[in-house]
Amino acid sequence: MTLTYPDAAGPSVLPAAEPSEARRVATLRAFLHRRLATTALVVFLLIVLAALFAPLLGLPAPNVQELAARLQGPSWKHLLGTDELGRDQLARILAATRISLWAACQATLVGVVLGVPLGLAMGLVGGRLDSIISRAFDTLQSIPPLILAIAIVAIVGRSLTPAMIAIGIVFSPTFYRISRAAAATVAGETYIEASRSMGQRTHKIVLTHVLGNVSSALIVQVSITLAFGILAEAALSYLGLGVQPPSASLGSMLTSAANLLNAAPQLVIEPGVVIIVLALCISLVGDALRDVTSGEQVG
Amino acid sequence: MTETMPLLTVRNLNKTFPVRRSALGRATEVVHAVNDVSLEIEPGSTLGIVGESGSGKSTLGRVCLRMIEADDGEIRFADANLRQLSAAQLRSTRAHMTTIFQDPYSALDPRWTVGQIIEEPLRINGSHSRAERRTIVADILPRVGLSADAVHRIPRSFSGGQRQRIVIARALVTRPRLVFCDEPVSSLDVSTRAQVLGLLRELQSEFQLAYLFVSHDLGVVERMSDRIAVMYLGSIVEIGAAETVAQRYRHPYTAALVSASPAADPVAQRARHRIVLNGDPPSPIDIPKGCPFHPRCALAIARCATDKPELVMTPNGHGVACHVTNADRTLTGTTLFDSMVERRLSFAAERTTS
Amino acid sequence: MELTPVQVKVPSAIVTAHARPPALQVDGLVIGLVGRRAPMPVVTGLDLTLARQEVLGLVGESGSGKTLTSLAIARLLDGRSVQVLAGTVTLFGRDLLTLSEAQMRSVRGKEIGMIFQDPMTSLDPAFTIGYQLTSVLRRHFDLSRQAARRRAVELLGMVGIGDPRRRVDQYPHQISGGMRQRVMIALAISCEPKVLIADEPTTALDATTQAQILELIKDLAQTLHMSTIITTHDLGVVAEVCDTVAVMYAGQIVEQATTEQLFYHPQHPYTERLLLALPRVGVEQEMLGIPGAPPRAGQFPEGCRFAPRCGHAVEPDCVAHVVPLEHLAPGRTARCVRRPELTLRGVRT
Repeated sequence: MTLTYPDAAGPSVLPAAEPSEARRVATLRAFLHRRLATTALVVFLLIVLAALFAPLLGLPAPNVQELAARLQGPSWKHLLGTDELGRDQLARILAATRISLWAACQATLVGVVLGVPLGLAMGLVGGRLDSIISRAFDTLQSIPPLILAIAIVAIVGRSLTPAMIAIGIVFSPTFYRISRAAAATVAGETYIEASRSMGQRTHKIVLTHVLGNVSSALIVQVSITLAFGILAEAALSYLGLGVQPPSASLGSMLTSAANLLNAAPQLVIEPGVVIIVLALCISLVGDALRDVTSGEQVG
Repeated sequence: MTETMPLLTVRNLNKTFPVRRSALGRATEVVHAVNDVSLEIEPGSTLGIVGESGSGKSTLGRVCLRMIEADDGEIRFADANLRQLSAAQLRSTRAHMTTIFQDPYSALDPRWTVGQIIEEPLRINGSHSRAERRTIVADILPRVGLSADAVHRIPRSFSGGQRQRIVIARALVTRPRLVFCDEPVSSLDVSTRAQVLGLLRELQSEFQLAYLFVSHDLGVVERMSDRIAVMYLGSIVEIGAAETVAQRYRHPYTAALVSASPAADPVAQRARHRIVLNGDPPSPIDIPKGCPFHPRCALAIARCATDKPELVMTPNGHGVACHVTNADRTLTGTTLFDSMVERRLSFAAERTTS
Repeated sequence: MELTPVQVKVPSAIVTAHARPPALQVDGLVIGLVGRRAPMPVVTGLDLTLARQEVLGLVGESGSGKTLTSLAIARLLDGRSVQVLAGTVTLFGRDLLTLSEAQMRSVRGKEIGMIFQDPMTSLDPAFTIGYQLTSVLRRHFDLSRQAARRRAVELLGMVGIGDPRRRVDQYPHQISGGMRQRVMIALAISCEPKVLIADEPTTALDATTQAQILELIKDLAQTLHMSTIITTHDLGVVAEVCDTVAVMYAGQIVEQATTEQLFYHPQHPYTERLLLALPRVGVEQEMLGIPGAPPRAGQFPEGCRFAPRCGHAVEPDCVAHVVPLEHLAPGRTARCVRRPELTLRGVRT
């Protein structure tokens, strides 16, 4: 019999491959599969939404004093009771949460802006400039964040924003290191060389290839920094260095309520619980995001 | 006139890399990766470069395409003097000279879809609208043996051979004239290898491509090339028509390469003698004086240790850099092979009797 | 999950040909990916016999299961994602799969030596070559420091490393890739194993180095009376060193024969296509690839697993039923329903 051979270079049979959208759906599904992380995300979003839209909830204004109704326990009028000046505790907690979250975001933003672009560039370029800048960031990291924040507050006066910027500065080396390491790994990949061989400029390579491939490492660091930012703000405000009365942050609420621990323990417990829950939720979500996205980087 | 003009002409190209620097940043030790290399590629033809790791063959390809800068020498691509081009001119020339990389796993961004990957050169080039790019990508997919629905998938779900097809599509999407194939099949299975090589040859005749085809496998290079250059420690030691180099070779190192490539026939394989080279290839940091191959060569004479042999070209375009075989023109192909095996055997016999 | 045996087990023909038990016998080996989902078989019912002092080539494309098989024999599968689900592995009459991990540790090295594909990552960059050799030697033998070092130098000489006295104090990054693979071989033979398993030992090496390393493995197998399995995707390697060959495709053996029989008279279309895909210097014959890609684990076709890529496949014979492994002669098997009617091309016809 005669032998026939199919065309050697003919189209090949494609095994079932997953399209990019299906992959995104799969990533999302993998995340939602983690009950704990999903719960954490929902709780976190609820707190954030409540904090953002507090004025629309029909609560009393957070700074309006109602001296007749001081230190009340929970009631229908005041769901979480009132503080020593008769202000609605729920309204104050929501306002304080907004300030705390904003402060944490400031710190994170400063860290990202200072650390990430430089880290990506140095990871890709390398050389002597890289080692000089890396040493500089190492030095910066040796400063304890809270001490620097206290020092800055001592210079510019009691205000939350400079303190949080200080914390952000001290956090920037971590962002620098993470993005530099990730960029250096990606820089060795052939697709970067390929892009360069097509005439692509370096800054565009960073934007198109490098940033996408370091994003999952960054997401995790952002979540860690946010959580730490909330705790740092609480610590600073507890020391009286952060936000000034009558505005409240979660930390300053703790301070003022600490004196009344025996008379009205709920005033300490309530903001304390919010701090813990926020920090915990952010960490859980960050961890889950890392687990879900790191699997896809390998391929 | 274009018929006689080579697409790529390289003259006296040199490239060194510093491996150690003094405290002041001056290079104290260098790797001489490409050493005074000259070559030409005709439009639509293939020049194969064969050599072992450390021979500088991949560096040569990268220097020829100015992916890394040469130390000195001249590169002419079409009618441009490549080394004199400005950065902007070079960027627009890049569309005409592209690369197929060795490792199809790291050559594709794992987060991009196949469509995004293939159209990247067009996007960088900036000469096509979004819709045009999409049409071009859709046209090229079946040409490289991929189905149309591959556009929306990511590289992870493709096998090595299929990924290499994506790399090929990306290299061809700008309709280049010269493609540098850097070991394009050495990370693939033997069965996939033949498929990809067949595809490369088909595309060559369809798009009139010239290939600079680099590989360590003489069998593969012989299949693909019109001409072959054999590299050893940065220098071309033999160059000529593919058939000539593979069968009527005149350099002892080429003979060793031929001896090392499997015959795919167990009886023939075991019956034949093999040229066993002395030791491993020396490091390119410390290239021997004289002929770089002389410490491992069975035919080496005193002169080989002192004078570096020139590449002597015959009128039919066969060049060999060897003092011994250029003096004795009868040493070609199997004659050369047998005399090397004989020399080695008598050498071994001397050693056992003494 | 229940695994139905894919083939009827036939007593291996080679066993009867030898009076003593073979060096290594694998029966009905099933290896599966395990994890959150039900186990997914990757190697399905593999039988293999390695006669004493024989060099056996285990040939297949990536994903065919050849590497998993060689790892399973040495019980080196990472038990979390890949496991042996069924079958036995018998080394000189002793079932390896029932041994404790402690017993297995003394089998590895002393009875089975392994060589891996990538010599760059298989050596610890932080220790000298001599340290890595002597620590293995002293773990398995009662040797003084000096004696172990003398033995290490001797081993390096045996695997063809020039100036072993100097090399023994060098670090892996100071030597070339070919020399690293020689060191790996020295490690593998340091405890004089009876069975040597080399997993793609030359894939990462250059042509001239590859030829040297194969020659070395062949010589050592002979002088040390080792029985050897070499896994490879390249039939050229088989032509060079192997006595017998087993060709694997999609988790099964599709053909087994002596090297000469396989090259000159292949009995399975897949073997034929593998032979046609080989490049040969100075031979005017087109290299032909095999269209398509091998099926992935879990997507193996119902009937002949090669049928979707086979130029000889016909319906319904090739796709309807599971194809059994046919025993043609002692040590000669093939898995093709159309075998009697086909005349397949070997390398000399």
